[in-house]
Amino acid sequence: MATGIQAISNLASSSATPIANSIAPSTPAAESAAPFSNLMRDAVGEVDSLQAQAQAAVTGLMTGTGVDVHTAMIATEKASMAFELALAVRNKAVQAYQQVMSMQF
Amino acid sequence: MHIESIMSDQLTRYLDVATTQAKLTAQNMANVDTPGYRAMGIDFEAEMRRMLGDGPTAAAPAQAGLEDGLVARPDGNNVSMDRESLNLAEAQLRYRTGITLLKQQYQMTMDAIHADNGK
Repeated sequence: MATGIQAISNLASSSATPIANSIAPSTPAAESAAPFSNLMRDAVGEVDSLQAQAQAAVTGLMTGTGVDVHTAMIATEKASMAFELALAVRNKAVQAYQQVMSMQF
Repeated sequence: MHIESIMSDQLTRYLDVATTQAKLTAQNMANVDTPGYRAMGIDFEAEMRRMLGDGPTAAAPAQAGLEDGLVARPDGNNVSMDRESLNLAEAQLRYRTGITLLKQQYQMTMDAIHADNGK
């Protein structure tokens, strides 16, 4: 998983610079230094951290370390919502990719 | 990425305070026969106002204090079971209300995420 994301980010960062330069040559290089892959990696990292929080809350609930029921439920609900959102974005991205692939020139 | 709304954040605190209220009530009920025990409680609305006034950042937990104005029995205990039952019912009602509203908030976000799955 991690190597896959790393590979995608390498791919994106290597190809993003020339594209960005060709579209906007006046843009400083510093602004094009945040590629789309960074955005994706941050979002996936966020989902992962919410899942970890949910895991910790549920463990706390089960072992009776003072975690309230609603705290655990809210944590799992947040993690679930973040995952669903990431999944929806991923499905949209794949759909867009497939639409581009099936274009006839 | 902030997936929850301001309202769901406030409802989370509402549930926290309602839980504190229920816990204190349980504590008072458990100590109904403890000589010298003084009933504890929170001012729910004041705590909510304080927590909501803090803004969306750090929420200090609700502060419990001794209840005053209660009549103590000869052994120094001032817990009234009638009063505690009322407090418990109130806390349960608040908890259920909070859960229902929070569920609606989450459902709304979920509907937005799955907006184009229905067709």
